[in-house]
Amino acid sequence: MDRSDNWIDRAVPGFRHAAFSRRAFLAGTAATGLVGALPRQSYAQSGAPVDPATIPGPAWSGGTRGGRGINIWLDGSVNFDPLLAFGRADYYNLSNFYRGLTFLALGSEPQLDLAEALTISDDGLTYTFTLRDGVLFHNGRAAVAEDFRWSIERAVSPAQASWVQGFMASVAGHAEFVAGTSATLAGVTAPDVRTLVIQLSSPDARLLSILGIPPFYVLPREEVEGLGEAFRETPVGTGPYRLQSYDGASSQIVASRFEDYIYRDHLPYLDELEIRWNVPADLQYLQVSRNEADLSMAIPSSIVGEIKADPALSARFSAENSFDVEWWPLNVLKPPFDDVRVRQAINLAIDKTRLATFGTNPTGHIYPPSLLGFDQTAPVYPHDPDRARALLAEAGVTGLAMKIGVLDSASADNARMAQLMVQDLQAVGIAATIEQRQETSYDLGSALVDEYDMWNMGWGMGLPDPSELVSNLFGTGGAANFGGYSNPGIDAQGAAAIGITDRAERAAAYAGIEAALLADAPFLFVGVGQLNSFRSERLQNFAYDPALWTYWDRYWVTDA
Amino acid sequence: MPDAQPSRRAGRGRLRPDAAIGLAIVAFFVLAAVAPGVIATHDPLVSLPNGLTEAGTPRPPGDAGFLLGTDVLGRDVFSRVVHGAQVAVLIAVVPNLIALAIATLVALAAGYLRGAVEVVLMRLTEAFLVLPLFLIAMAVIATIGPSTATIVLTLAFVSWSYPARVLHGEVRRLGNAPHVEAARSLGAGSLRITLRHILPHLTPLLVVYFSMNAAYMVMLEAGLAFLGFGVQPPAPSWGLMLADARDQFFRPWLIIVPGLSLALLCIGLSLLGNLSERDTPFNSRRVLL
Repeated sequence: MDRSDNWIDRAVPGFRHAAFSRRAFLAGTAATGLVGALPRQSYAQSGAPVDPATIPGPAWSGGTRGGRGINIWLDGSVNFDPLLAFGRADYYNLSNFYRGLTFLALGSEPQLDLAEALTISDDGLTYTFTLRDGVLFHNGRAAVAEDFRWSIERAVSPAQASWVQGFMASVAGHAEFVAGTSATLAGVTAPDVRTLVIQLSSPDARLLSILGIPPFYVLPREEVEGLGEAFRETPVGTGPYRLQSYDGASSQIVASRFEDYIYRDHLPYLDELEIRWNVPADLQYLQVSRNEADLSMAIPSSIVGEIKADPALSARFSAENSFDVEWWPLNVLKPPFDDVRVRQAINLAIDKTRLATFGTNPTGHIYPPSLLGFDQTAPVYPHDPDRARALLAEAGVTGLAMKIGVLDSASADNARMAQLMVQDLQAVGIAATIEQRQETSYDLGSALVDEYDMWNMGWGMGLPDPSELVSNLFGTGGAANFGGYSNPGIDAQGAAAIGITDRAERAAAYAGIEAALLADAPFLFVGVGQLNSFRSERLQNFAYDPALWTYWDRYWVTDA
Repeated sequence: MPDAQPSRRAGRGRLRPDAAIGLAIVAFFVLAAVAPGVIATHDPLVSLPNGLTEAGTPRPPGDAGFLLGTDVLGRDVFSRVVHGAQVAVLIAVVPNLIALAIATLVALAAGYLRGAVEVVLMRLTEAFLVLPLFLIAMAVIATIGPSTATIVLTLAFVSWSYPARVLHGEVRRLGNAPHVEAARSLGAGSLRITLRHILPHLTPLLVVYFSMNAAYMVMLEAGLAFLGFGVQPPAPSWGLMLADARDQFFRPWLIIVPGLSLALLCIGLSLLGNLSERDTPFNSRRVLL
């Protein structure tokens, strides 16, 4: 690759090199408008020590720096372009290579990361970020406001057509930019190298959370454009680890501590981080139990019983709530499922506690437990066959037969859950049959209502905000609302809740939406997927959050 | 060398030992299929109240009175295997008979009528032979939807071609046999010759193919069920039981029991296929008489 083709080299000759000359720099910045841009040396040397109290994320203390941590994954392939990382091994490792304006701490709470200060205008429409001094990319170049602007613009650009394109819909000029009538995203500007301004067209309380997810982390444009498709396996960002080697044939990446990381005086703990993918779940268990790897997040539910039975292993295990929402939509447009009493009866008929064996936390909610708006006291459906029978009788339904579609039959747990449901439904007089399909619900889409009365669905939340569920799962015409459910009242409440800036008020609004949804019962409410996490004896300070999963910058190993 | 060639009288009506073993195995599974309630100890579809341990894990063989243990849903594995024989035997017999009926029709039509009919039918048969039949079965079931009728017809559809080709050769040979020439010279018509003088001679071959094809059918259905294209849960199909056990790392009985049942039935059917023409009760000579 001829790196001289990179935009930053063209714009600012010598910018990234030690032989950088003041003349060349001034000529370049004058030509491109990057006035005020600073060279690497200037940032690296002038960056003031970071106060550890301002470092976002879970707490850490003690431990020894050094050593290598190994995390292993099921995925068959990886892609480290933040917009194209759709697997677990890649998406949940992005924060090791990249960082952004904000970072999602425990509770998925957004905290300032590469931005050291934020000012929000009184009308809630203007967000002004001041960047930390001394942030460097892994290639040695300073990260400036223009990089943040370009990265956000890339994430929502029509050329990328990424899954996060709509997340910035409230940014001024988004519609024009996405439609192609504007060349730039007008609402995001970089007035100087350390200031980024985001102008909204309507208040959006989600903005800081959105900026905290990996697709909006900052990227070095010259690397993205210069590497082309190779960027997918050559992550270059500002994160705590820097790519050392990528071995696709062996399904392995080794990353080393980034010596110029913005929090280098404190983090990361590990000298090296190894990521292995293509590791079967049972093998993951064996490797971690023998301390040959340090962390698996994919222990099969079938092994959990054995782990829990052994106190030594049990201490290294935890079942974590994910942001993978699990629900079974009902065909609400088809009689008798258009009758709310029948839908409620189905919810009452199923003993959800029995589903807990299969990698599910059967909360009976649509919101994951740690999500804003989750209300522990919400009226979820208990297992009450008598009430279910009474509701069916009240609705005049007898001898009901229903067909359950088990999509994505590659996962044995879906069929197991369906079989338990068949038994419970039979107990209230509903004869249910199962049909397994290899396809996912997303493959079949709107055709599902032509074939099934109920089917399994899952949604991995990309944005840790309930608005994503309202708009996609049960909002009218939502992307995953294949059952055709429509409630104008919920649609209106959801639209209004996006603009509520007070967190408590917003949580109450979303709790109200879930309560209305529960009463309407358009689904069989199940809960969230659970991640069975298993650690080696040497891995310490494990912390987990469903948005980013792991925090490898602050884990350490005992034999460092 | 009188001992080298056993007399016809000595061999008639007597089963070879391997065939006898095969017959015994098959008979056991047929019994299980016909009267599963007599052998099974529990309802195969119901999760039993004591079917799981306190930790919520399946019970191993012998635990809490479960002979072959329980599965992940707390159902009795022994009862499921016994009821699973119903599916296996059904699949071994019904699509097999349909497939052999198609094969016989094609072979008789092509072998006796010859000419353009033979060319068309045999090229069609050869075309079927080169197709990836398992994938075609998957595609057909995925398109129509899995049901017992679909599976039976699909298995018949994908497995008639090989016996048709072999039977066709036999029909051609018999078409020139002296007894057929004799019948023809006596004025017998094509239909009569085909039905009375050729078809009965195919019977021993059909019996052998029936047993061979039966094992193939059972394996094919188990493979389809394993991939989710066969009998649907909660039916106790052995292929489904194997599919359900594929992540049961610490519970080998969940794999061994249905796997062994499958293997035993297939071995039994194959051994049964070792019945010689002399051994079979459908002896062609007897039919001719």
